[in-house]
Amino acid sequence: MGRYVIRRLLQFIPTVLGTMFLLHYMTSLAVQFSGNPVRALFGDRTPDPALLAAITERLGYADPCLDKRGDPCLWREAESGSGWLGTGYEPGLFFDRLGNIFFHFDFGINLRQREVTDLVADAIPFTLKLLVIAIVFEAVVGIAAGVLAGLRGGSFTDYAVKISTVFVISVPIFVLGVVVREFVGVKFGNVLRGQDWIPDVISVGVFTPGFKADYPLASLVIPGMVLGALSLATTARLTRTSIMENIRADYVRTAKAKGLTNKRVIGVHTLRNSLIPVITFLGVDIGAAMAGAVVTETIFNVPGIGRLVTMAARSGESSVVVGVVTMLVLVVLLANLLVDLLYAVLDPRIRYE
Amino acid sequence: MSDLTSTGSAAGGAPVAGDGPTPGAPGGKERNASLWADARRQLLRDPVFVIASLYILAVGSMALFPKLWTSQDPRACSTDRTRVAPSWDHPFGFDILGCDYYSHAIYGARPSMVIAVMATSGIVLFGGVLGLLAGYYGGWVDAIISRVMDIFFSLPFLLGAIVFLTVIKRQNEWTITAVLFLLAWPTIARIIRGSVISSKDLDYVHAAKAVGARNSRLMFRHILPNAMAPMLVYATIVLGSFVAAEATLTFLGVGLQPPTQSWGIMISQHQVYFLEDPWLLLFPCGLLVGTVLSFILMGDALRDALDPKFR
Repeated sequence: MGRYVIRRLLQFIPTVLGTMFLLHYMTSLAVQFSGNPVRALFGDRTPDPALLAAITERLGYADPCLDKRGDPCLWREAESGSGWLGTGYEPGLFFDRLGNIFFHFDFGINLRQREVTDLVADAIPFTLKLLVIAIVFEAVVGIAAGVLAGLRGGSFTDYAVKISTVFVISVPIFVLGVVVREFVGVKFGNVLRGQDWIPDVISVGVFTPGFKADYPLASLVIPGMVLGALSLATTARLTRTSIMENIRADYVRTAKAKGLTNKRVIGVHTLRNSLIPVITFLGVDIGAAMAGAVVTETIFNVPGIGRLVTMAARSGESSVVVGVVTMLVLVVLLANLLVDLLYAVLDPRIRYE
Repeated sequence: MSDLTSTGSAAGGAPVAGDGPTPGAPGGKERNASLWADARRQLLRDPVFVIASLYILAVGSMALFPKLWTSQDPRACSTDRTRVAPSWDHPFGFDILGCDYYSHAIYGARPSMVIAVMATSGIVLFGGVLGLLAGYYGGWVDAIISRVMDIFFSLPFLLGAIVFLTVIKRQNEWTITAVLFLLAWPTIARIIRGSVISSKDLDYVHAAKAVGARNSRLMFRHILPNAMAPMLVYATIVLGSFVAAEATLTFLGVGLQPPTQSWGIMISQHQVYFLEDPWLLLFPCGLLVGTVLSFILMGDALRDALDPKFR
């Protein structure tokens, strides 16, 4: 166990560096091939060169290596002295960015000179609530459907789950979001808002077409469910397969033969073992859910991180997009690490010694 | 040697179902027992697969020859007929700018399909080769390729795409294809790697090696044809998810930009008119969901047909 944890932690470092490099190289390539992104902010007007240079410098696009196509910006020629270890080169833009992120916790600024970390700090409570609602919804409904389908393979429930999962998979989340917003939030919500006996929390809060600051939790329920629907189908299918495998396992037969009640056989012996892959999936899914939150928050107008990314992307504020996504990717990497460690704790068969 | 080779070519001869009959299996036995021939027979009997592939054929012909489907010009607009309801002459009505919506929908098939097909071919070629190398050679080749794959895996697809497309600012079919390719190739490489590892120790591979086949021959003639099935299944499904991804990126405003015709643009431009004129949203959503669903159902049917355990 201990050795596994250490090995996994050591593997974590190159993965983080590699992912950071991937992000860095993708953005550098984009700048190298399409020119200074700051120009996009001015539209078709020609900016004052001094102003352009100042903003470019401040947003971190002034590095000369961003003019050389294909240059990964790893090293630059040392301005003075013999450079790093006497090679005549010193660490380049990539290492500058890494240093900013890990030593100064600096993810860049937006055009109004606000730190990206500030923007994220304002937005994060909404996204967190949304994610929790989504994961809970996904876990409860997905596991329940999967268990029902898995225990009675070939039954009506099984086919119902199978068919509905295919449909949920094939509807892109933004289509689902828009349709739910219009049908449930506006149309059905309007009917509810016409009735006097329904409390406002339900009619105005829950069934709302967009986020309402007056009902910060209630108005996140439907967006959260839409977000959870994204992986609901996978959760259900995974539970179903794993229940079907485990129900035939020897230890389940032994438990039955001992005369344990059905409830105990299913609840303790089957379910607990079947849920290991499901829990891993839910953990890994946090990454996908964060990406999905970009879409859901945009549709339901939730002032979270996702909408921050979309709004910045639409207005061309690439520094904000890069900063926020870098931060999200770090969170996803950490979540994956924790899931792997949890996996080793949960399943005694996995030791990787 | 000749015997081994012919087995290889019979298995790999028709990599795409519906490629015409496998040219005469040597000897012409009573039954053409190659995996692909069996799979084709089973697929043609499967109504779900037939319907899904007919739908894809229809959408594909919209993308290739939009003139077959409509004689209208999607850019001939006139604002005095904005949001006119569907009629016999204009089955989808008019959009907010007064352009014919049906022809917009027909022309909108092309970018999605072009992007999906280009990106999928890219990941199949690139990911396939890397997966093959990693699985076949193992050792440090595998270690390096697998670590690189891990790195690409840890970048959530949508987030990576948004970053790249925002910074590059040129949001056209090529850049979208590039970013889909870049972020999706590791999955297919991992699938190929897995099936190569499981089939490289089989007896016929050892036999071929014993008679002196070179590495490249072993890989492409003997191992790859048998690793092809899972790749084909995944490639079909991934076509669907790329169509969806293109529409999602366009919807978020970092994908294709108007005045290009695309289903994603149709949906994002008309989402607010849903209550008054629901058809503006339902037609593009229906086409999009139908396409994604068809690809997924085709993939599922292929998986069942190509898995000998289901026989």
